[in-house]
Amino acid sequence: MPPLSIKKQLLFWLIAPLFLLSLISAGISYWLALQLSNEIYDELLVNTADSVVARIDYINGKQVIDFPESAEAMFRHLDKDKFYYKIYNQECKFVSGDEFLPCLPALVGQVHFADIKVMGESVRMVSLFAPRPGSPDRPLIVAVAETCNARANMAHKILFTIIALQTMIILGGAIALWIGVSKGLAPLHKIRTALARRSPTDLSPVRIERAPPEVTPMIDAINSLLSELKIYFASQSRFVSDAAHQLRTPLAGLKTFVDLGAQQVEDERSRKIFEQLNLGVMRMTQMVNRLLTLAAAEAAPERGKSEERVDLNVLAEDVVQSVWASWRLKSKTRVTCKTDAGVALVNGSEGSLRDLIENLVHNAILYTPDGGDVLVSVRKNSSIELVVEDNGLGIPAPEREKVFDRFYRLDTATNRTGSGLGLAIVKEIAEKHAASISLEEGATGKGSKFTVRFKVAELAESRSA
Amino acid sequence: MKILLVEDDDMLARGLSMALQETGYAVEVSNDGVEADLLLSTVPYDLVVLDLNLPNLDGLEILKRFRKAGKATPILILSARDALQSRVTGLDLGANDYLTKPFELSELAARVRALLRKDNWGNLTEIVQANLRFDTADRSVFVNDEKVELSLRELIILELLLKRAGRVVNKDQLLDELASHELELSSNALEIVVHRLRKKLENYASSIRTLRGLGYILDKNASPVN
Repeated sequence: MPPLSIKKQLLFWLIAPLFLLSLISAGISYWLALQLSNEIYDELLVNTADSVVARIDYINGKQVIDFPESAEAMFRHLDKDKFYYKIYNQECKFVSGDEFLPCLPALVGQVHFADIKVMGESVRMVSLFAPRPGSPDRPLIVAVAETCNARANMAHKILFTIIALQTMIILGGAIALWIGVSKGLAPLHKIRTALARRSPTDLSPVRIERAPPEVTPMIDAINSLLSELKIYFASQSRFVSDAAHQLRTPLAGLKTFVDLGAQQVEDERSRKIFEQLNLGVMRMTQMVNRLLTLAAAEAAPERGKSEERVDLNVLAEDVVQSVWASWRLKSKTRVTCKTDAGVALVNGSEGSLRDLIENLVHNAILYTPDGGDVLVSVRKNSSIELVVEDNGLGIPAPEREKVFDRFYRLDTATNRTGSGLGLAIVKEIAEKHAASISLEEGATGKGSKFTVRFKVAELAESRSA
Repeated sequence: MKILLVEDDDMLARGLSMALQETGYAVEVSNDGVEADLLLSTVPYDLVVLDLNLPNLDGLEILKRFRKAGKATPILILSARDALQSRVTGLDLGANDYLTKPFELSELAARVRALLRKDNWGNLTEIVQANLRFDTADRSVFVNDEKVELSLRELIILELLLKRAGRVVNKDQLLDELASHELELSSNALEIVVHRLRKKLENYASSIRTLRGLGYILDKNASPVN
């Protein structure tokens, strides 16, 4: 089971107890309200009993119960409840009223309540002594009773009110919690988006405005990791750069002796040997230079938001011309450039973008047999696309991801003279410019098509004509 | 021509000094910054090939001190640092040229020739005195457009005389110059070499004159003879 999100955990641990507590509170409130309403109804019942008691009079020591039909009817026609009464003496001898009521005992100065059943209905009953002026020593007992419909009704009303109220509280609380938890977790969300948005080469510290104290240590930890990574990457690319520099001197020594030797030789065989030696030294030199370019591209700052703006139309034409100039004698592959009218401005460094285009074009020429075509084009729509397309050997689909790795070369290229670094340089520079690269089959089904998508440069102010 | 090669990589230093010696220069090699600094402050050279990454003292510091001391000898920096900034810094500190490693030997040789030509011959590719022509690039000598084969000793003597044409060059200066090429001679032997040189240049319209007790002089701008 995947772990729950912090938000879900927080909401669960807040809402579940809230729900439970409000259930308990609802129960207690209901019970208290019921007690209170019962007390009020009991009070009323006692009052009624008192009214009955008031009907008992003693004239010359003889008891007279003056309970007219009209008064009795008034009691009996309560809204919802049935009313009963019974007057009896302490030996439970019936005097007046509803004889079927049981005899409840009575104590002096106290009322006695009981819940009984009358004809299957719950009935609340109260009994009390009825001492009247002139009454004998042992007074009569008056008991009154009523069914519990009004009470039940009241209980229902209270219950509904409580349920409605608690539901509102729970719902309101849940909404407030949801908002609160979301707001509380917002800094985490910000960190996530801040980290997700950046390019893989961006190791600058994460900055969150007004981060709460709980989040600050996490941001600090992330930033210290980032800065360690930055140092590590910097030292790695410095190592590559240092190593390449260090290689240059012995290479120069080697080259010097190869040149010296080549000057001395007379016979054809030795001349050929020296030619191969020279080629080897040149290839190593090229490799070292590419390593340095790669290290420089890695160490370069982010260029995607650079102040410098470069017109890819102009740059592509320029690179194609200079590459063509140096290759036309070595290869019969044609290199052409097609650009739209107008400008295709991107933010970035001209030097590195030149490296990028050069490496793509070199790569295309290298993998296109003599007589093929390499087309460089720049298209401008929502983004600026630099496309380098050839109709050469092509790259099988499974290999397309890997060609951007350092020193990766296709099997078909074993006899080719690439350094295996060109496309790694291209990728590195593209990433530094926040550009994306894709690689597909060429339009004719042959060769490859590299597309680098740049964001259109934001024009701070349009240059006036 | 005496060149100081400051390079701490043994192989490169050996290769370069071999190549430069074969071209006919006298080459001294130093593989240490402090040593090179000391040599430069005491020994006169015609050209310095200077690496930048050196033990004990950085090449740029050597360059700075050398120029501060008021020395105008041409300096060619030979460095693995190819960044624009280091090239600009090197040239601004007073280097005359900057070549990055690795390099084509022929290019280095051409740059060395160009620097020496500028320093010794004011950028001229040819020095003409009457019907004698001296090619500063490959140090060949022609009289009436016919090549004259000279020994290294003879060539060194002629170069110095041509360089100071119209001025007297004394014997000690010539002997020092030869000694810097490890071609030590006695004073008498020098006279024999000069004699041979005159002989080889017998068709030369002017002449190398001997000024008794002073030295030799090659007359400047002697009118060509038809």
